[in-house]
Amino acid sequence: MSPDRVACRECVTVATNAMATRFEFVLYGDDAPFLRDAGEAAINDVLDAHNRLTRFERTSIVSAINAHAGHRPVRIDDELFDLLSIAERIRVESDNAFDITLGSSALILDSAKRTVMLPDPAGSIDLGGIGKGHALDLATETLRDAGVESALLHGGTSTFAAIGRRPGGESWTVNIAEALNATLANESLSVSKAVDGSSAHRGHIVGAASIQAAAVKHTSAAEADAWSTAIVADSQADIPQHAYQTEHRWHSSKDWDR
Amino acid sequence: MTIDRRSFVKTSVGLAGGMLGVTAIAPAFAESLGRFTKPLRVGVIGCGRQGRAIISELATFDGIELVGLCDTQSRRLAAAQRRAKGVPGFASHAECLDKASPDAVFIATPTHLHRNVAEDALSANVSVYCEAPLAHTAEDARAIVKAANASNASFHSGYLARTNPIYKHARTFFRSDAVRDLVSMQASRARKTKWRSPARDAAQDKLLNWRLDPEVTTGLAGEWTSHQLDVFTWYTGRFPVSVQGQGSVRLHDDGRTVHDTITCTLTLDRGEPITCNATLANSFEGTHEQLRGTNAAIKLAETHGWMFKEADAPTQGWEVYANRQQFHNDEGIALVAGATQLAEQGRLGEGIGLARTPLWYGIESFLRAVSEEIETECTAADGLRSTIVGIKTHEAVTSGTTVTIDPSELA
Repeated sequence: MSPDRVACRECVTVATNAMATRFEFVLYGDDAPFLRDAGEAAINDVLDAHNRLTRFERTSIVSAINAHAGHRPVRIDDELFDLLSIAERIRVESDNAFDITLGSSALILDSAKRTVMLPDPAGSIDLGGIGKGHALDLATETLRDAGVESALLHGGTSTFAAIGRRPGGESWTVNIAEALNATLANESLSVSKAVDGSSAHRGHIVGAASIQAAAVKHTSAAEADAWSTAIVADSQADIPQHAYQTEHRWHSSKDWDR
Repeated sequence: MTIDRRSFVKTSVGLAGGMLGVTAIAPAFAESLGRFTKPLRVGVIGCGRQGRAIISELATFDGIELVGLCDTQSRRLAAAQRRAKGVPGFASHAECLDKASPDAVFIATPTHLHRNVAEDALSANVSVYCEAPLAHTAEDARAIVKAANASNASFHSGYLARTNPIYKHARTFFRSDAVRDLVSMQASRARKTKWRSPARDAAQDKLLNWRLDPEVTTGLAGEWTSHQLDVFTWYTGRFPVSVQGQGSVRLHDDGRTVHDTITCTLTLDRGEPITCNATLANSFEGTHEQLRGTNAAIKLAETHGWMFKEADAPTQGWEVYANRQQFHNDEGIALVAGATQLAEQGRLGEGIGLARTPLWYGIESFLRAVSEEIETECTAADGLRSTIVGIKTHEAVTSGTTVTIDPSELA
């Protein structure tokens, strides 16, 4: 991230720790106090998402779902239902490469009753592969609603969301790897990489990772987040290291280009 | 007859539970919670961050139909409707009450706007859950209580400690004399935040940033500290007779006159001090309350509670079985609601901390009271007293003087 401080009139940075990482938002505009207020509202969205989605705190709704695994469905609000529906769709489309149940069992989502259930009593869900992106989507929406027209947001320097363009009209540039940049304008990017071959250290990436890293652009940060996870987890033989997808073409990994 | 240690400990826990009035249910496994004797139609009036949190919690209850959302700001209404798709949105509470015909409403508007909404709802015999403090002036708070008393509908004040299983459980210890003679109380709430929403013009700023408007705000003392003072008055059954305070702007030098950091000391009728701190400039240690006694101290932190015993305090049988956590040089005994039942199931460790948010329990308690037509756990009168203590504390902080509180003012 290389903000053009010369071209902008005001630049404000806000940050918070959530979801076991650091979120940082860089906002540009004409009114610094307004940008700080908008940034804080967006940060509060991230903190709310953390409190709702974490499986490490008993009070979260995700913990409630996990606590009732194999027992009974849990009613949830539409925002979470939509997120779990996206996760379930990507699980199916990625042939289980992305799986928030960590392989335990498929979610049972009842759209009429707005309930979710894990059929396996030992099952649990972990939104680590999509939660950061979801939080960035919420933050982006808040910033746009407030009237922010130029901003770059990231969670853990692995998932990005861009609002508009940089001051001066250029797209945002995110350096993914040596000599490999991604440009963003009103879109999101997520990068996932396999930490090592040990399943104990691969976090939410389930399956045998055959590539080192993947980057996915998408209009939704949640989808980019989930797909980059899926692509790293999926064993595709000819995916290049630090594969970069210029558009969302997950169904044909061979289409990827640099 | 022989008895092994495990059976002995179970028996001890059971006896202690009975003796101490341990809460009869474990929150993690209380299947009856969140299920009501009759379905209810509910509305949410005020769809800011707190209103949206209420909407999400409401979605988890069986038999509760959300029938109306209300906010004067269209983008807030839209954000709320993302969590509750298809629920009609209204720009005025009167329209919401009229067209949605709810049995109950949650009032999550700015504090100074509670009165009109509460009065209109109660006069239509619609039950009310009102966020706390109830109002920004004693006059408005009393008007709300008057409306509640005149209505056949239920009224619940949103002081969440009253419905929090951990706080209720800890209160049984406190009132059982486990801490012995009360020495002092202390509360702290810290969060690094601006307390300001983005606004494009002065009119919107006045509407959204009412907490920083000296004409209508009760400041940190009312919005935050009054909740913690409610814990102390609820536990002791007594009220402060005077309050000293001071405050300043330590971080957010953005032209605000409402303090971002306050300290206040209140004195109970028998001289016990309550010290409270609140700040928007630092987040260390978050939110907690402490009650110190000659035998033990109790620390409460929203979702958790602990007891710290003095070395010379008598040991009770259940302590053998208790979960303990180290706090620097002190060892805290985790207070677990439903400990007896969990211990019998060998699941005591699973009971540490709340299973749901404090807000969830507050909502559940209110809906149960409406459904079963029983008294709410935090009545209008309860809310009035803590609201006025908060207003008086704000007065002391802003004036920098000692403010006396006459018991007659709390009635």
